[in-house]
Amino acid sequence: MRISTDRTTRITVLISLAFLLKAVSSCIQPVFDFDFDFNKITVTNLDNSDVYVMRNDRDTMYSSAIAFEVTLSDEEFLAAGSLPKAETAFPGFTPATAMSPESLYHPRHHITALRIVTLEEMSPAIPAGSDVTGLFVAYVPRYSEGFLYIITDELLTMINRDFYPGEPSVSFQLFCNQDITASRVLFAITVTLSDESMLTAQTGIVNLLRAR
Amino acid sequence: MRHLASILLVLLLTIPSSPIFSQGRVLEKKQVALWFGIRDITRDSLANTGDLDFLNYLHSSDDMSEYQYLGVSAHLWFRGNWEADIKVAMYDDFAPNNLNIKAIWLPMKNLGFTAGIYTYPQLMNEFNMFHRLTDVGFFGDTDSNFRQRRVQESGLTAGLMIPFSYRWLHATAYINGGVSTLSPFTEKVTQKMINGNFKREIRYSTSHSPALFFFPEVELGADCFTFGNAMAGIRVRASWYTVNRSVDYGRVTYEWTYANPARNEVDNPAHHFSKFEFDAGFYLTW
Repeated sequence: MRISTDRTTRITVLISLAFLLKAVSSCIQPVFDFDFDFNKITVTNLDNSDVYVMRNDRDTMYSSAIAFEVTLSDEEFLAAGSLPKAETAFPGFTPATAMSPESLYHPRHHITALRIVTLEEMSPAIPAGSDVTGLFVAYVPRYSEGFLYIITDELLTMINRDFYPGEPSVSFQLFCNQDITASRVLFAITVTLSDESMLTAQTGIVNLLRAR
Repeated sequence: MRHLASILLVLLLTIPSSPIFSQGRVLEKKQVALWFGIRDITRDSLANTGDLDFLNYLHSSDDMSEYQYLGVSAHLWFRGNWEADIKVAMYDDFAPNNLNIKAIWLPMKNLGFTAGIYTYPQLMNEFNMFHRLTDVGFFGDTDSNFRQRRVQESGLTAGLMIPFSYRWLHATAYINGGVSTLSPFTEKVTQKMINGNFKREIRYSTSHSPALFFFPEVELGADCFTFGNAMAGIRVRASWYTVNRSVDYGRVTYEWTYANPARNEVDNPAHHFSKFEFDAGFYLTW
């Protein structure tokens, strides 16, 4: 049996093949670099009573183990997810790669200041409204080197990065270096950005236990 | 040290068979031996003071021997009353880092003078227990691993050799003494307050610890049978090593952050330390 194809059919098949090839072996380079803004600050309690610090869902801490974790992030980015975007919306397959590179998030503004204010009297010498930034030391989980803490002045150098891998956020931990005599504490933590904007979050009221 | 010991081990196995040392030209006689031995350690354990004393943590137990070793040796009889004795031994890690090398000059038939080097490793275990026991209110060492390190004791020896042979029996006594030191090392202990944020990091850096030691040895060999020009036999050896030593160190203590550390120089008391070795094996002389 002989199959005859006319000229129009042959051209249609050729064009279809070319489109298919283009679609399968797409030349589109996915973009893994994103710009983002710090527009959200969250504070969580930490439990530093043991060897290693852990998240603390309760509102109690030991009076010499007051600790918080502060996270600065881009709320919109986190809500939208961080799937790599293509430069152009070409209807093709994503090129296969041996390993997907990690997304890099570049902050539009860097962090210029950190301020911690107590909203409760911590002791007769530290009334409510005092700036207690100097009573805290810090640790940056992904970036700190060594076992010990860093002072809050060094913290800015540590957390300001050209980019943040993985997600548009940075977290750091704050540890009070005093044994507080008050029965409860409450702090406001304010971060100032290079565009003069400020992000402020309050810790919850933390009831203090005295270690025996 | 490990590379040096490996080179020596190769030389030890190749020199006796080298043509340049063929019988009658440079060497009058050669002997190689293979042996297995045990090492028993006895050391003072002093009461804890305010400072960590690393010598309290040298490996020592109530067992018959703390270490077992496999060794090879060569004894070379040169022309002109000179001899060399080279012993290389290894623990179960097969690192040939136990060395006992002597040059011997025998002006008389039954009396010689020796000079050489002596080095061997030992273990120092769980020195962090000092902090765990004494630093109340702290996690004394946040490193939960078994803390162990190897220290190498090395020295220069000099002494007398008293050889004696009667028919098939050969006995040699060495009365050695000298100066030895433990290899310096650095260690770090990290601590955290229980129920508190306070953290501390203590860094130790020990110094050389030269001390005089006394090290007599006795070797006995018995010729068993001959084949060709060679004589095979069995050998036993015993030795005792005693020294009084202290390990001093510099200590740097960081609290909260790595700024403004406190620095101390610590002089520890001397400990009496002794070890007894016994090994047995075979030799071949030609």
